[in-house]
Amino acid sequence: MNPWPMLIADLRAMRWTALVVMLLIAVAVAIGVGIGAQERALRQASARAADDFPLLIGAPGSQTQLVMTAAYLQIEAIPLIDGGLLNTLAADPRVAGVAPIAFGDIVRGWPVIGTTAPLVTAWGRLSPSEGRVFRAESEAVIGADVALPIGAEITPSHGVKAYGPVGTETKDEHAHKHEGTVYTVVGRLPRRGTPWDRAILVPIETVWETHGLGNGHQIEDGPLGPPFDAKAVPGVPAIVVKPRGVADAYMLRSAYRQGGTMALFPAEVLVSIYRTVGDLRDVLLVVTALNNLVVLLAVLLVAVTLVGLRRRRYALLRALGAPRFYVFLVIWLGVAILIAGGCGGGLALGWIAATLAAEWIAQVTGLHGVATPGWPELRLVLILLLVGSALAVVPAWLAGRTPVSTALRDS
Amino acid sequence: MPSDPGLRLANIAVTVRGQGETLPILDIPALAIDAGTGIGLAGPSGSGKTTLLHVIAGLLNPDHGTVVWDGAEVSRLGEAARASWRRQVVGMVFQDFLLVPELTALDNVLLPCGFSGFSTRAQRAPAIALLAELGITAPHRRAAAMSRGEQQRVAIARALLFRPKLILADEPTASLDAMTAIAMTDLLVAQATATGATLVVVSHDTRLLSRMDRVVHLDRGRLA
Repeated sequence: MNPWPMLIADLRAMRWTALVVMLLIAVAVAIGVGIGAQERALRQASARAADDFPLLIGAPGSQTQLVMTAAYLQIEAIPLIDGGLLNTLAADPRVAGVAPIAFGDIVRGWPVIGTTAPLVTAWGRLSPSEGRVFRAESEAVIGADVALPIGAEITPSHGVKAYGPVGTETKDEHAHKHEGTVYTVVGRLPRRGTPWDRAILVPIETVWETHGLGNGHQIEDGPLGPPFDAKAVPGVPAIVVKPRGVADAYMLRSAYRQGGTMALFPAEVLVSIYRTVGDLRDVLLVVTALNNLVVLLAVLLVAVTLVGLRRRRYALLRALGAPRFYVFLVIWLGVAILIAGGCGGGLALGWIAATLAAEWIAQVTGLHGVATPGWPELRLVLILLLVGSALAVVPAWLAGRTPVSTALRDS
Repeated sequence: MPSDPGLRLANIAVTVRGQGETLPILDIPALAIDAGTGIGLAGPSGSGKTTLLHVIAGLLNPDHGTVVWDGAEVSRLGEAARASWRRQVVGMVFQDFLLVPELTALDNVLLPCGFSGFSTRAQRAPAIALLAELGITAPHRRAAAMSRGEQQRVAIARALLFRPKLILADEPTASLDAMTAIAMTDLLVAQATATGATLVVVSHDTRLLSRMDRVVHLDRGRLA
């Protein structure tokens, strides 16, 4: 049994309708695929970005804001905590590493982050892809996306938001320059796919000094990093702690949840955010699934109407001796091919849309995610294909029910 | 050999229900058509000619009565068996050809290969030869691009390709000009004669009817 000649003739006869039907299904499918793939890409990228921040300590306030500021560099002015904690934590046997995060300056829209070498190298995991890590107060290490050459001399401007397009220095930014502070770029970090790729990392000492707070040490131009031995160590917005073990992490979090500090695992905050985003995604996916079902029902209606309009054509086949199953096959395959084409197109369209959205998110936030349809999206498409193929039985079955003699007499 | 070659109809009755009453549209006590002969079905519009043709083809089940072909009662067969019988025995030509316009002339002729068990590849050459015999020298032209005369010839080729034993033609020359109608009549009769097929033709065309061995007149569903 070979239904293809008749099937191809059918598809050729209704090519524009077929195209519109496939497009309709494709758009409906693409929405679901795009949402799923993009949400997963964002989740993976944000989780990866938080990897280097095992435990964050900040002033009591919004946990989300602390994470967004410290891990994702969505910088907002947040209260400071006592910089003396850096020494306390550095001396704590439960702590494997400690690093401050301070900000308040920008260079051509790129944030200048004051910290110490351990955080620059992600606790020793990374080495600069070019140059080296800063060794003096006047040196800076740049993220992979900071378009500055090694050896460039830069002067920071006060502010936490870009004054204009990133990479350009506007008049406003120029007007807020910290005259007298100059960094020389001595190293570039490899790409991490996180907002830190856009950061300019400088010694915390210089950030403090630039803002008139001293350098945290008793002498100028001494060794960088803790211990900070000034009489009064300046405050910092956040401290990143790398605990020695899991138990240490929980004990530290518990210890610094009181006494004027707030300690948290960014992963906990992320889980909470994911739950909210996940709920939103679930709502969107349910709406999308219903939308897909409505589209399938509309396609079914179109198919039933088309088969009704072409019943003489199918009656001809039966008059020529075609078994009912042959006619069933021609119609069912035709509708199934439209649905499969729409689903395949939707998968591709959703993938493209998710990739474009991921690129846009990377441009806006610095979070680089790879949006690829995964099993949940494929499962959605397969379910649609199965449901659509099952629904395609209806017009195929109806065509077989039409009396041949009556249908042949239709004009 | 079958005990009683040809077509035998007995006590055929077809009715339709409308507005609370049952209307008889066909009432044929008996009709015998010998194998290899040509019979014309004539009569005014609405007299039941096409209905009778559909009953013979097994496309329409009569309310009662029997249709027997070569000794086998076709009217007792189920839907699938009747379709199989049509594939093996019947070639049909329809009034307005009923070609698939998106297919070429050749593909239209080969269309039944998709469900008849005949190999499309094996039937390609005979189909092209048959089309050429019927005057279609461009078998790869789409049916939609052909004149009505050409379309009718393609429809006849489709009906004749598998050398059917029973050819049923519904107004095969209707809407054709006089010259083409004569040519079509010649072709149909010649093909039926050449293959020894039984030919049943519904027509108003006296030139076509005059070429039949016998003409049966129908009036209001009855033999006149």
